[in-house]
Amino acid sequence: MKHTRVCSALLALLLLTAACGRSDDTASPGTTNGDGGTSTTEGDTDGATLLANGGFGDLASVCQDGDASGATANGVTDTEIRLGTVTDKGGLVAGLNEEMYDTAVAFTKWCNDHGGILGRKLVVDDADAKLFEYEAAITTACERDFALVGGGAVFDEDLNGVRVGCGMPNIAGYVVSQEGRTADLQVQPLPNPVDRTTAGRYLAAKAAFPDGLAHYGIMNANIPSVVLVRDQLVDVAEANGFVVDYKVEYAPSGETGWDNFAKEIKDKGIKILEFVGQPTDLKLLNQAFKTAGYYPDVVLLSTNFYDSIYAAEAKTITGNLFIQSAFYPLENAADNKATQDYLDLMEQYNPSGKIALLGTQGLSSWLLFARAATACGSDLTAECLLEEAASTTEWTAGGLHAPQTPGNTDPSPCFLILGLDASGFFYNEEATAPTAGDGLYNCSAENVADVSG
Amino acid sequence: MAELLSLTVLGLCTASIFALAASGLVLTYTTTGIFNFAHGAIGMLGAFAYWQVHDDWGWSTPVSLVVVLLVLAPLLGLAIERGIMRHLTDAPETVRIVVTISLLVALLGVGLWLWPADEPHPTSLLFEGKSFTLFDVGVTYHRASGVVVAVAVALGLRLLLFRTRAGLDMRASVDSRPLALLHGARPDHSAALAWAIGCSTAALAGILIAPALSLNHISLTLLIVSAYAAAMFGRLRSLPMMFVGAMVLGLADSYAIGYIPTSNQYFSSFRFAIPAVLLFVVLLAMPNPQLPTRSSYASREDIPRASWAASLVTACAIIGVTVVLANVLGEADALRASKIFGLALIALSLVPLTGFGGQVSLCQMSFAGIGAVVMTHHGQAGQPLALLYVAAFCGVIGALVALPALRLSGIYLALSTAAFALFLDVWVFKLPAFDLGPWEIKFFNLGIIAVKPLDIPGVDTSTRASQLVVLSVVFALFYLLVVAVRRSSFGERLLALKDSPAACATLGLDVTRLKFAVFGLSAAMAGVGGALYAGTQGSVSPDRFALFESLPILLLSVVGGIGTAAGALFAGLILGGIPIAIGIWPFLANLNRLLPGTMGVALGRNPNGAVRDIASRFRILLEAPGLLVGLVATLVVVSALAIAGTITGWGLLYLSALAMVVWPQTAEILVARRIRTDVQASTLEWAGVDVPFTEDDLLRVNAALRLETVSP
Repeated sequence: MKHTRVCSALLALLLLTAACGRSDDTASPGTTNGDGGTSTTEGDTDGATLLANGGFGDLASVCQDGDASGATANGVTDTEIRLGTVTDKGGLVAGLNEEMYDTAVAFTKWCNDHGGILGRKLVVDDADAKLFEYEAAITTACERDFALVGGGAVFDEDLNGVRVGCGMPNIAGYVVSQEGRTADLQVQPLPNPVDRTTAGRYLAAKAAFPDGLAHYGIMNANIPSVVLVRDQLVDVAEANGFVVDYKVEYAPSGETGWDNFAKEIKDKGIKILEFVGQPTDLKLLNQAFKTAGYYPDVVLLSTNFYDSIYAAEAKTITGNLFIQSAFYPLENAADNKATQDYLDLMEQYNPSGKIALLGTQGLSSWLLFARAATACGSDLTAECLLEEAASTTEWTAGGLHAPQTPGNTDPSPCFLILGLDASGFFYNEEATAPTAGDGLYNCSAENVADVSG
Repeated sequence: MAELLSLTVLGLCTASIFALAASGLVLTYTTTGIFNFAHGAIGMLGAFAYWQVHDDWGWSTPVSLVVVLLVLAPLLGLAIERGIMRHLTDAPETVRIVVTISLLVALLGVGLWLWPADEPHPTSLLFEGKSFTLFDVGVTYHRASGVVVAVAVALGLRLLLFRTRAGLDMRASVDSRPLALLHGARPDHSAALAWAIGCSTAALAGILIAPALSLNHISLTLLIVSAYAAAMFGRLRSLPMMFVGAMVLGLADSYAIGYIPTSNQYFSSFRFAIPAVLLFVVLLAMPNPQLPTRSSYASREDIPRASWAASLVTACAIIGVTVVLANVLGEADALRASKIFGLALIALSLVPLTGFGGQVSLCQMSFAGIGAVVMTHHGQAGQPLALLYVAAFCGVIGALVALPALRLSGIYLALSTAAFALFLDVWVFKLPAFDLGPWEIKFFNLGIIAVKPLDIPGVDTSTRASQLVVLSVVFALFYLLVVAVRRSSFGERLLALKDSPAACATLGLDVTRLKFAVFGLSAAMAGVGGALYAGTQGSVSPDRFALFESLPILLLSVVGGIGTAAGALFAGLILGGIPIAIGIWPFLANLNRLLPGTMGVALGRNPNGAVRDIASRFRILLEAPGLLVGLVATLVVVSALAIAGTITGWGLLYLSALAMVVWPQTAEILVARRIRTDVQASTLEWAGVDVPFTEDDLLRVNAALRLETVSP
């Protein structure tokens, strides 16, 4: 059984992008989108109008008719542009990152309804890497597609090789491996460099619990890639004045020592605990905390804990959580046109599709692609697409997330902190301490920290 | 001291989990002689069934427990006994091991199908999670009840086995089935009861463990590894010793968390290897077992001694078919197809070891992993010579692993190889680089290693298609190597070893040296296979060489037919080919979850493997050489058309498939008719039956009956 390695695969996905670079990847608060989605759809006529006119969020005319023509590149003709979206949805973990493909289907249908990219219709090809067939999926896409847009694969180490070899650009949804993140011919709407990261949750914890600095502990799953992430996080923490007082690894499946861990954490008086692993594992640790009668002041988490499975376990959470994210929370869709537009887009164009945070991340790539491809006009080539995409600044995907600079090698300084209580995820304004003029986000330039890549 | 006491309390709580998981294992082994690898998976299904009725449908706790423990679990046990295990009474050890492994795979598939992993399954603790304090640590009543239940189950089972008539029957049936039958026992009934109780115990363990471990398919299924170690303390038979084993494991784990310094990056994860180390130590400390006198052959099993001519034809056919495919497939499909040969090469290493020698190994993937690591260090450019390094290195490691395992056989040997695989898997492969004297030792160095495909001087291996052909040539060479082994005196000795180790020793055969040699050979082959497999993947992570990756390889090789290279190719085709098929026909995806498991389960009835069945359909063509020529000609023409581009790859697939069905079918009809005609022509009894008597017939009848000639 490949399932142990699938465990690792999932974890690798959940952790690498989240913890190492920025915190803006996997999450699927399925339980919350139901309320948010349906209750506000009818009321929000404004967004629907713009969406009905080919605009999205605060972006006007994302897709429109026109007279672009010419077979300027592989996969581009007078009438259509073929694009691939990479996922792992057909792998052993059925439906892994399906939301990215679902978003691609909804976006391209919607875009074509409004004339496509200056008259060229978008055709989306399903480049399913099925976890372990990444290279084969990319080889197929190379023969067929103009570019990869809005997708990602857990095991993407070979990105440099095959894709760059065939000259296919990637407007990535997410990138996991170090090799992938430094690959050529690639633009990430939310940059995720290997040597810099946004230290949001550390700054928030430092401000809220100054006593905890000397009592910081970190727990991680015993998976090699996660161990690397852990080492980088420890760097960031230490740079911010935290003293590592407890460091332990737990078995990624079948761990039986949770009560032991809780006892150690209690004995050492750990006040700020960072947890790098799967949501279900933290649930077990929480249970052990309850038995031991101790809970740290705060548990620091990356965006992978913004997850419907975790929300379902929320009743057992008694303590304080800081989940770092760069996306406008789906719960607050009613207050944010772009987030609401995402829900409406899915409802109208792919009602059976999965709604999740990673879907919005894919959508950011599609919007950036549409914008860059429109700017290129008839002369749609890989060089032009990448240049246009990389020269975009203040990119918020119409308001889906905090401002980003896709062509930049630095991550965005912006973050926000989410918490979780019995009623679900909520925006923690006090911990975030939003900076003036940045909406929900804290965008202080000092938030970006170096890590030893 | 206070610290030690607290850690002891926590360790005992963990021990109860292991004890619960191991008790059903010991019960089924004691009462049926079958080591049930699927025990954890059964517990997993029990836990999910309980979640379904209790948490999802909201039935009360007692009702849910009764439904799961007294109805569903025993029914599953009966179904397993009646449907599968009953057919294994005289099956060889290999088949028994493989069947329960495949049951594990199948049940895991069922679990994932019924309760998808991406949906939440929140569980709750018994007694509302309330707890008390003992020696300064909190203990939930749930955990404490686990300890009580574990003790109660162990005592109850002990009483059942040694104080009741049913228990006596069960033990008697395992000791000697024929004797038990002679004394009026009914082994089938005993076995059915044992399986029903075993499944019930597994489900109980699953239900109690699930909230402490999260209701997770994989965690619950794999918890069994620790249970194996605990069960081995009692040599799989003694419940009290199993209990001691569970306590040792639980306490070792707890003390390891408390006392091993976590700052050391090499030892911080050593804790995970403790079950493997203990398992190994217990196996080493076991008193020398007698050499098995009974054959590990199935009565129906047969390992053919292929002729050189036939083997060469087969080798050429493998290469020929691959050349055709390489010309038709696109780059992406060629890449996918090369994985088939990579896995088939690893599977091939099992043929001499398990097929000829009867030694079961669950660590072939570990050797493959070592091979891949050696290849990155010595074959950065894919030099063929590096494969010699790989073979030498893996061969030595294989022989070293065999050293302590030499005196073991059957399930004990299988478990010791599993312990080795686990040791590499959870600890060694995950170590950062370190220095050992003058050498720097680097495994996967906390990540992924890049392995280049084979690059043969003078051959253009730049395309995936050409790499595919190179792999097929390597496979064909290894296939011929296996044929050579089978035809050599070494091969004959291996078969003798499989037939009866005791008889071998009596006749003066050096059993130890023989085992040593075959382990080394097999590990070397697996290592080379691993290096090439990694080459087809470009880069590999240690997860690909985990213990639970070795199981499907063994499983499918045995299903295909472990006695010949065909079984290995079959394993490669299924493991590597089914993903391709799913790409074409997506509806196969759900089938794929169950397929390997169900195939293994069906194995009990045909120990020679599936490939032999398929091949026998074609053998009839030898009776009608004209038709054989016809089939070959059709395939050649269709292939030529495909390469020329006249028909598509699909045309090739459908036309070849059609030819493969039509020609043997025609041959069967023709041959059947010919046989009937011949029989009719020569047999007196047929005279006049379906055609009127002729004069000749009458003369024959008269002659036979010694009658005077009668005119008609």
